[in-house]
Amino acid sequence: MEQSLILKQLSEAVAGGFNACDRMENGQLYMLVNGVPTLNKDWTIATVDILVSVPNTYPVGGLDAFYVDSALMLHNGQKHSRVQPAPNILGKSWGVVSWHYNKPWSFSDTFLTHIYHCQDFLRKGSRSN
Amino acid sequence: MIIRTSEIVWTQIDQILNRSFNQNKTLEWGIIGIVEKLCDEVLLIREVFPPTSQDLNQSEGGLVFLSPYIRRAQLYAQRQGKSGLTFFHTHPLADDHVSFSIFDDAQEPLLMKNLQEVWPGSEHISIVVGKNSHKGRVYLKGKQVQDLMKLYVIGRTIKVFSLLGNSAQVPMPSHIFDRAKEVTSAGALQILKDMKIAIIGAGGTGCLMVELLRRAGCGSLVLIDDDIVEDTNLNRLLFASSTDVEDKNKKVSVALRGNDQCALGNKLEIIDGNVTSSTVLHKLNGIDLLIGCIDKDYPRYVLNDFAVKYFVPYVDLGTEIGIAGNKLQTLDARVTYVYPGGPCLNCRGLIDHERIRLEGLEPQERRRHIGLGYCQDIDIKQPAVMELNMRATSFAALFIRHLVQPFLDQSGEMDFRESVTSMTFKKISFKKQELRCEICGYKKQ
Amino acid sequence: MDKVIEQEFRGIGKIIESLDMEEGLPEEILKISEQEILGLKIPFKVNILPNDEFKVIVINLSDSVKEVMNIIAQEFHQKLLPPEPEQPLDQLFYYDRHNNIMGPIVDLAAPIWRVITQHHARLKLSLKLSLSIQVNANWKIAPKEEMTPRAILQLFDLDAAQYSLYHLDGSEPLPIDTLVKLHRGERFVALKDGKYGDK
Repeated sequence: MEQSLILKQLSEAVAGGFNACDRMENGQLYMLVNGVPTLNKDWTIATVDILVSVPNTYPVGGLDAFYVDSALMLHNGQKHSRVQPAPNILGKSWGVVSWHYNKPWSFSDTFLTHIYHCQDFLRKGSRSN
Repeated sequence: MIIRTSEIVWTQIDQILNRSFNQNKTLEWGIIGIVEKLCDEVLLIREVFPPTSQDLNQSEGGLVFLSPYIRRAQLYAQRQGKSGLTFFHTHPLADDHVSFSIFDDAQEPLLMKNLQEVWPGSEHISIVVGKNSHKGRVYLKGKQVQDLMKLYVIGRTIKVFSLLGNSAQVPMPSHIFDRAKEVTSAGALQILKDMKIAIIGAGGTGCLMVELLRRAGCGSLVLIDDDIVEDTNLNRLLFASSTDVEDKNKKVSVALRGNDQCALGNKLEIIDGNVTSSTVLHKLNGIDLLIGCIDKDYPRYVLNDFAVKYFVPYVDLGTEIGIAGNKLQTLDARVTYVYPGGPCLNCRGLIDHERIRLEGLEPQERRRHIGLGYCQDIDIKQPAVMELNMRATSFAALFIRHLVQPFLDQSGEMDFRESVTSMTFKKISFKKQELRCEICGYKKQ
Repeated sequence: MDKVIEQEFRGIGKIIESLDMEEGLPEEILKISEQEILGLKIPFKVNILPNDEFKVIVINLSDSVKEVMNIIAQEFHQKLLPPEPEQPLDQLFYYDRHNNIMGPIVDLAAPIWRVITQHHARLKLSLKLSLSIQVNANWKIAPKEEMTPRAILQLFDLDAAQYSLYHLDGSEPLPIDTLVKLHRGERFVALKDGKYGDK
């Protein structure tokens, strides 16, 4: 993996205003973004932590899907149907979001554009089914 | 030191230089190529600068590359980050033997010194061409001049020209290969003997490839793999025994032991590593032919990228046993050839980027992604049998003979996919036909 | 001595204050040993010829003439030519006790104090920036502000029948007998024809 590339893109995300850092667990590299605005009143919380796993084949193997803090709930008291329970990662409980691209990852995509892609899910709230 | 170029570039060069031999035999012709240094052993000519009518000054027995022509090529090459220029020129009266004239020997060093002063750090090639002969030398940094050995032209076939000034003087191959001479003649066997061939993957297909190439007369093989022998490999891994499983021996070590036992006079260098590591990939710089015997898409992507970038001919093998329910659906053997100017594995749809993503995740994380239901489980051990591997490797070995000496003087198909269930050949379809491939730039006409 | 400069350098080296720069080094300094002189910093009046105003800068007496030239050039936002590590074609002049401009100083490796004491010179130096131009790897001083490419090639001992002259990034050869206006630091490329023959 071009480790330096993902770390450079992490710096771009931080410069873009996201509170992001890299974490490693069981040999797997993750990007943790704290306090991402949920951008929709359908959610019970205004910000949420998200987690993205980075393949060691990055950037040929792109980013896809993401985890959200398990506290993310809709106002109707239910979990979003696209969020499935996931085991603890980095000592915290998450839900894994089945939110995929409809085009292949390209070399113009970055970690920052992936955060925006994750935010699209949040922005749509209950409509993102 | 050798030179490698593509068939497309060589055709452009040939069109200009052949005028000396086909038309007016008194005129010398010349053309400038752009040089890229791949490593200490290999120089690439990736493109040429064909001359316009104002670029050459031709007189009987003399040829001048006018300075504006050299300057344009130099500026272009320098801005592209290339390492130097190649000057091809003809000696129209030379046939099976060619050498630099006394005049060339007196004038050329002045030109090269001038170019190296104008473009510090550059290294330039000169090749004089006779009707059936070529001689080459390279002006290295530090004013050192070195003779060049060979020119490889890579395309639908692999052509090898000696750069020592003689038409091919082919020594007879060892008598071991007498029975193969009718299939691949002495000249082609010598090409195989001199080529450095890397086999990536020492598993079921890799070990068979080593066996077939060794017995086809290939003199210098490099085998790369970092796996150890497991009991499930024993149904198809040549020379492997249950002791190797107990001792956790590397597959490459088993292959080396087998090679030593055969004692056919070929060299087998083993590398315990993975081509996805840049250190291992770097070792492929001096390789003349790549053979991919791997079952993962990321190393296949890396090899494909390397082959496209550096004009290395690449033969990729694969076998696939498709099961649905408990029923056998497909039993396929595939051989695909990647060459400059042709389609690569990516545009042939033989590389799956989703698989590459999953291959890059740790097992636990991979299983979570597979659980999302968007991809197939790539953790399942693929079924594999030796007979099917033999179909693919047998095709590949015959294809390699065909590359260095086309059967019936015709270059053939570059893809074979045999369905063993129906005993038929399949066509390989291209993906995204309307687009230019992002890796090799190929666009299907 | 300028108070600001004095304060800037206080504590870094031993600065001799209150010197009259229109005089040479005072007797007291001339008497001390070479070893002691090495640590001294002295104010000098410097300018760039022909027209720049004199400025006062502090120079370490142990600095070589070449180092002093670099310091003066920097003070006036200039760079010596050719660039390091080559010897500059620019020149440094000193002033004798009668304020006559003298030089240029030839030994650029000599420490500046030796030049000043040998020639009983004033603490006053002038740098002359030459019209240096480069062809391929070599630098020379152009004798005129306008020259033909033929004359430029001749200046660099290159045969105009063998070489064409180009601007540094130019792909078209400069017309051999058309005057080119030259600027200090201008760089050219002289490229030969490539000659081959089956003779």
